[in-house]
Amino acid sequence: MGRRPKEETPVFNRLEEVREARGLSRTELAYGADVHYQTIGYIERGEYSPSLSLALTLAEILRTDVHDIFSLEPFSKKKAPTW
Amino acid sequence: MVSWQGFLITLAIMSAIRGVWIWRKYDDHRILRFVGWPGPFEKSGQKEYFWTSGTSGASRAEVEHALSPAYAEKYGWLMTVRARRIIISANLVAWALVIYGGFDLPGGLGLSNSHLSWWSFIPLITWWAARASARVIADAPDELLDERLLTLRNAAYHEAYRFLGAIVSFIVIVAIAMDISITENTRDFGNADWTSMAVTLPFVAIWALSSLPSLVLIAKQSLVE
Repeated sequence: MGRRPKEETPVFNRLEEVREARGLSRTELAYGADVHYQTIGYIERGEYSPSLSLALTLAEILRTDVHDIFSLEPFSKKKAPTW
Repeated sequence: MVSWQGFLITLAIMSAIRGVWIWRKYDDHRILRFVGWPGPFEKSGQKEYFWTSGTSGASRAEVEHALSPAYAEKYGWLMTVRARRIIISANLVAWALVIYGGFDLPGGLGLSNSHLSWWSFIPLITWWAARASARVIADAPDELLDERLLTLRNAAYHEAYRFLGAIVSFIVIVAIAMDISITENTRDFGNADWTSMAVTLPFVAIWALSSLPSLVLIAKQSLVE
C-alpha cells in the first residue's frame, strides 16, 4: 500500500566526527539541541536530514560553520574543515 | 423496546472512560470532578496535558518517560522486529475476531453470543503493546516531539488513514454483499429502506474518506494558497 516516496536529495554530514572532536556525547548534544537522543544517531548515520533550523542549532552548539557539518556533496571531495 | 442491559453496559463503559480521563488529567478533587461538580477548583490540580494530536492522548510525564532510555530498557523486548511483527499480527487477528463476532456472522466460531464478549477486549491488550512498542509517539502531542519524531508520526497517520480507508471500504462492501443484520429489527430503520441504505452507505463512506484530508487542509488555509 502506498506509493514510493519522492527521491530526496542526499545530505552528507560529519556530525559524529565534529561532535567527538568537541568531546560531546550524543545525549549531551541532543539535550543542547532539544531533540530526542536517537535523532542525533539518525542524523549521524545519514538516515535523517535535519531541518535548516536544527542544522544551524547543531552548528552553533558545536561552534562551527554549518557547511563544515552538512553538505550536498560527499566530504572527501571538499576542503578540510575549518574547525 | 429499551434494552436496560445494553444501557447499563454503555453507561459503565462511558463512566470508566471518564474516570480514567479524570484520573490522568487531575491530581485533586477527582471524585467531585467525576460527578461533574463545577468547582471552584484551583488550576494547580491540573496536570500538563495536551490534546493537540493523537487519538488517545498522552500526558507530558507519560511521553517523556516513554522516550527515555529507561523505557527502552524496560520495554525493549516489545521493540524488536520480531515482537513488532507479532504485535501487528495479533492486532489484525484481534480486530478480525471482533468484527467477526460483532456481526455474528453465519457459521461462526461460537465465540460470541453477544456483542460485548470477553474477547472483544483482546484489542485493548494489543493496543497497549503497540503503544508501548511505538513509545507512545503515535499519541504524543506535537509539543513533546522533535522534528524527526513529528515527521515519523505524521507519516504514520498518513499511512494509517489509507489503511483505515481500505478497512472501512472492505467492511462496508462485505456487509452489503452478505446482507448482514445483527438482528431482524435493525434492518428496519423506521421508514428507511435497507436497500437504499445499502446503496447509500458506500457512497457516504467513500465521500467522507476522500474528502476529509482536503477539508482539513482548507480549514488550515495558511498551508494551502
